[in-house]
Amino acid sequence: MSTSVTQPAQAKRQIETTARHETPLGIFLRRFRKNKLAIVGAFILTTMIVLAVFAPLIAPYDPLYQDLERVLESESTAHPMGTDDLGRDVLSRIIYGAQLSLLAAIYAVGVAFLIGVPVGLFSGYYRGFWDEWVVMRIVDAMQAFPFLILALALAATLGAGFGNAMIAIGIGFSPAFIRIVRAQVMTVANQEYIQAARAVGVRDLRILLRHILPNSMAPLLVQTTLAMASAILAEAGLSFLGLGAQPPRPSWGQMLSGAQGYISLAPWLAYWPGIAIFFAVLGFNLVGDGVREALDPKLRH
Amino acid sequence: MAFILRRLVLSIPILLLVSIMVFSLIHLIPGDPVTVILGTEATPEVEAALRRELGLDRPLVVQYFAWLGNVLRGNLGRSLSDRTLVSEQIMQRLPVTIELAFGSFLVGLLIAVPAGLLSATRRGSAVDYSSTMFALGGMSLPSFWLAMMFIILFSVKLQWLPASGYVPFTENPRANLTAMLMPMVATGIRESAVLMRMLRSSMLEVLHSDYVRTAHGKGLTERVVVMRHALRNALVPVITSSGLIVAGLLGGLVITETIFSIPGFGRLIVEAIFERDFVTVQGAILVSALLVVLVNLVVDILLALIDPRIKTGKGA
Repeated sequence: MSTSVTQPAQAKRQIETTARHETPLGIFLRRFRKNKLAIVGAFILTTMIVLAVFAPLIAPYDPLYQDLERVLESESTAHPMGTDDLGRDVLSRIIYGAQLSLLAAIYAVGVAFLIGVPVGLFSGYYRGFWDEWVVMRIVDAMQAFPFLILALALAATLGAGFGNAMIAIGIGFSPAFIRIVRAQVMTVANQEYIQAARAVGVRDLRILLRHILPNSMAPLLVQTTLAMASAILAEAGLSFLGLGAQPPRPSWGQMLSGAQGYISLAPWLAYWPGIAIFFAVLGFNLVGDGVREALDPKLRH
Repeated sequence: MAFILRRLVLSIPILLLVSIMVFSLIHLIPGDPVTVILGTEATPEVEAALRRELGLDRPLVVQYFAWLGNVLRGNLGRSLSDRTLVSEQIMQRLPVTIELAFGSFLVGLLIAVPAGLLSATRRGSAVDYSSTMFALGGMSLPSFWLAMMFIILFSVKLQWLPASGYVPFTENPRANLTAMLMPMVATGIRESAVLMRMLRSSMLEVLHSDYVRTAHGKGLTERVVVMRHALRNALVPVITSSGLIVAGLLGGLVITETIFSIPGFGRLIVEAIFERDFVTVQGAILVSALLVVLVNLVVDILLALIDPRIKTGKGA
């Protein structure tokens, strides 16, 4: 499409962009913005963050307030998403639920990050016995467990609760983070500028943190966004089974689990939390795909 | 043969580590596992008996090897809640989950293969666009929510299918399949999304390779090129990730089985967790990891037999 005659204005703009020496961030943002799906994803995530942060201002009711006169009411103007079995406003609970889902994404991926990045960095940089026979075999062994079953067992062992569930999910994610960081370190560590840094006597830790880590960020960023999508799904699953956030804290997974008992009486209780989870996960998936394509346009099929 | 041996030897350290992790699980319980399992009202005699049964009164290393010795003999211990043999429980529940997993995978393939093929061969078309959207949606959909929507539509509103009521296949195949249809489709749709994305990108890669161009050059029809030449190689990445697929299915079915009250392997784990039956939990997660390791092993060996290039490459 762009093969048509170059307009003078367009040519000027092209020269200007080349001359301006775009920063890597600039290039990234320009490519990301061109991806319509990624923009949709960013829009979904922004909405979610706004809902979570300003929940007390946006939600029409207190998410814990029980109006026992208005139990299991279907959609109305007073309660656009109806009320649950304790007369709580479903819309307000969905809005507050965004907080927990976002926290889940941040906590679980944070745990994976804290384990995966240092282990991957050192293992990939120093290699040798520890890397090959200890770290990587542990990673292999951890990846033999079905992720959700591992998370379930860990969460149950540590004790039901939101924090423990997030630690469990984070541990489940960590092998993937270790692998990605390690692989990236191995490619970067062999490059000339690293050898040059080592030759002039820069300390290993400084090389790792100042030179290798920043250059390993691209795939890590993609993995982080996509893992956040999985974290929200996993948190919803664990809460559904009763091992995540505990009542009365409004969590989408736990709202679905509560809806199960009223599936023929009050099906609307099951609609909204699922739709909320769907959009949250979709948002992270779309942004993740967008980040991946913006960082490596060759990948775009 | 040497490759197979090497591959077998390589899985031993993994299996050992898996066993150590499963064994450690009970020691991750904050506080005294015996109090956590029995509650605070148990008598000291009962507590002491359980401590002895779990081997918690012996040094950790002794405990581990005693436990490992039992596991190697196929003894996973007795359930803490109903005293049945854990291995028997698992053998009873596993076939149900395997049937579900196969069914879900089949549903996944039935959607993913045509969708993946069409979207790769007609890139940029409406079919490609809608399949890609479908895959994105399917990956973002919690399968347990989809299961609930199915129940609302097909069981509550239309009353076509039962929401629960599992019947063993051997007893009544028809009733069995009727009860398993919704769970299979609910789990299969998510599976299809993952498979479709995988297939589409590997198909696109294959379609750009030289041998496909040669096949076109020979004057073969599009159909023959795609179905006979390209699809075969495009399926390799899917087969390679069988272990991941099995792991994903086993995990996903935990929740599906809970929703449809299907007495499968996943339901066993959930029940055991809520009964604080850690012996059963240990046994079940050990078996789930063994299954994944086994699938990976079989796949690697099969691929090596089919594709001689793999044998010469580095195994690790």
